[in-house]
Amino acid sequence: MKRIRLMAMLVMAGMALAATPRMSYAGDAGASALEILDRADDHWDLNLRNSLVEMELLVYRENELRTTYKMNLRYQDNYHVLAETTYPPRNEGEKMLQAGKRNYWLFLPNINKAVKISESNSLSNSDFSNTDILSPRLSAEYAPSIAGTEKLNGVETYKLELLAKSEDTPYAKIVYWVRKSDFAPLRRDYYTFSQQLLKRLDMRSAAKGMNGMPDTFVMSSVLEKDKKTVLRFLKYTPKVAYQEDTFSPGALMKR
Amino acid sequence: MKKSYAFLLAVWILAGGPWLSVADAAGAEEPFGAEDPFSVLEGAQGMQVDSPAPQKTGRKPEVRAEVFFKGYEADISNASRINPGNRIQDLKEFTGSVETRMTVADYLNRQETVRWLFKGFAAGSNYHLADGTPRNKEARVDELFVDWKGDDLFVSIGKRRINWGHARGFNPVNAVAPPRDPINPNYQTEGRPMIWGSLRGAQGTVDVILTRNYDGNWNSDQNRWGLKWGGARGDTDYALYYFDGAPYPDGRAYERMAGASFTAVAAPGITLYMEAAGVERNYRNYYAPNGGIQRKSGGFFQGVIGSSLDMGGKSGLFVEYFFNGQGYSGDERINYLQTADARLGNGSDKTLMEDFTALAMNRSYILASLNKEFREKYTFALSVLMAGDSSSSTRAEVAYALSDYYEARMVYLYNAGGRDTEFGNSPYKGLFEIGIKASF
Repeated sequence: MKRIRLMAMLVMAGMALAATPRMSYAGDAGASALEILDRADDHWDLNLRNSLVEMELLVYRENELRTTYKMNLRYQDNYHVLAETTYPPRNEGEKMLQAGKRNYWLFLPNINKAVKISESNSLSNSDFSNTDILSPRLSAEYAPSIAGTEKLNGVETYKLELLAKSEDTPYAKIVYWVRKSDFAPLRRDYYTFSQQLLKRLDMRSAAKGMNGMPDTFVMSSVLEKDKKTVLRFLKYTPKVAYQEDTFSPGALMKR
Repeated sequence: MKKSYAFLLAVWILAGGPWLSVADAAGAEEPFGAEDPFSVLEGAQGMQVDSPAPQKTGRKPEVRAEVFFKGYEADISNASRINPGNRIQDLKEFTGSVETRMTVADYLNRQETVRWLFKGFAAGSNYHLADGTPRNKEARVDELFVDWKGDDLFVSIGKRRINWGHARGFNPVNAVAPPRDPINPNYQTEGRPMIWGSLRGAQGTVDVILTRNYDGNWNSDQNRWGLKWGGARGDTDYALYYFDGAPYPDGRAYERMAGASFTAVAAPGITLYMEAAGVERNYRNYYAPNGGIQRKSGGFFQGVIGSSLDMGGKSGLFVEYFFNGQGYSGDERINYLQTADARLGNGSDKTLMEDFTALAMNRSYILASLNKEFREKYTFALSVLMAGDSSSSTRAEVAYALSDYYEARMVYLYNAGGRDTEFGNSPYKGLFEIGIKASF
């Protein structure tokens, strides 16, 4: 009887330990944290490469829609992106350019001038910073580790903890939830260098046949619960061949 | 038996429990609330996926129009020594205007490599330039050009405005277009006729400009040309400039400018920039104590160093220090003003009036400019320009977006300073502007 009890205890202890996130992940999938991170960001970055996206930013304040912006996003790769405002008319023609890693420019049509800006600047007064949307791939800037597996809204996910490789990055830490079944990105929590939770990005893929590419993003602020920005891709055109000059600061004044 | 259950319970708690996820546990102290973040999108249509080859046919031309309805009330400075008693300039206390700006652009081919653009400006009744200069009716073509853009080559022919330099307020290297008002650079949009070629290579971009209008008299027909080379390394962008041209009609050699500029991200949210220009000749009038005009041999230097701070969205702050080697020293300014007292007391002197040049009555200037948006509808802008003689010009603007198409705006420009100072002798003490801007 004692032996049976002992075996039962060992089996249950084993089950419990198997449920420990770090252990379970390594045992289940065999993929490294970096592989999970890259596969998650592939859904986003690879699908967007050489594409033209018409998108809208819905800025909510005090739970009310305050402003709507529409933009055309010309995406060549993770470091070469041009966003041009098309609506409202009073902001039409303003451009935000990423011309390389941490190389951001703002073009002001009223004075026909491009000025260098910081990557941490927010995109059109929304809750998104420039990097949040224009540079979706995180592995170059952050070192990932596996924090466990979790159920997120009933979906099995990998939970990754990403730590900044240097203090030049906009965030010190990002916690990233990735769907287990297809590595689709679902949620990111962003932390400041003082380890304070700053904001949360929820993502979903509504369009069919897009290989899990997120097309709807909700960025919520932790400081004000009724403050958030919804970013939606309205129209997606793949395989657009851009001239290399499209993503250089000098080109902003030309076209 | 009890010990074994306690052990199992401890193991289960440490493991977190196979059916209790961390997400669920965190739900009790969910910092973002329990609401579905996508609930606001109920009923929204999904993304439309276009064919890989985008359709070019049926593309509409780009058309943009802005209409401004403005009213001004001026606090005219009768103590101004360049407009004593408002007798010379005869400024009006109340004025109003309607200004219209229109842009139309389209491509000429399916590949979208050839484009034309038209920008026009028209103003009715009386209106003011950004620095307060009064103007009457005017209609002009700001820009009208055709350009072609290849992979590395770009060519533009026609009237066009381009701006050189990395600084936000003062741009001493911006020799192609006339200087802007640093405290209100918006809407100074008139271009110059030019041929502009640009070649991009591994070592940077080279721009060549051939133009016919640049010598302080925009209606002259002298040939001018400019060369710019720009590159980038890491977080830093830099450029070298050269601008030269044919002699003036009276035989004087052109001033000739060589300059350099850079901009770099100094820290997260903070950008540093600098511009320096050396001008080979100085044709400015300087005044002796007896009122005689003097010239200085050699050239002069102009430089600006500044830093900007991003404050989120379109909100930001920048500070610049500008050194103008062509500007007047304290004694030179006093000599000028005493000459003005003598010559403008009973008459007018066009040359002397034109020598009252903005941003050149001193050698040092500091500009601080703040732009802040809040509640997505309000914009507040404040610029303070302080000259080396302690006089200042302050511009405050509040704009309210009535809708996505209409914006109400109030602006107040205030000049302050003593009797011997630059802004203390501005024809306006204050200029109040109220208006509506419609964008389509």
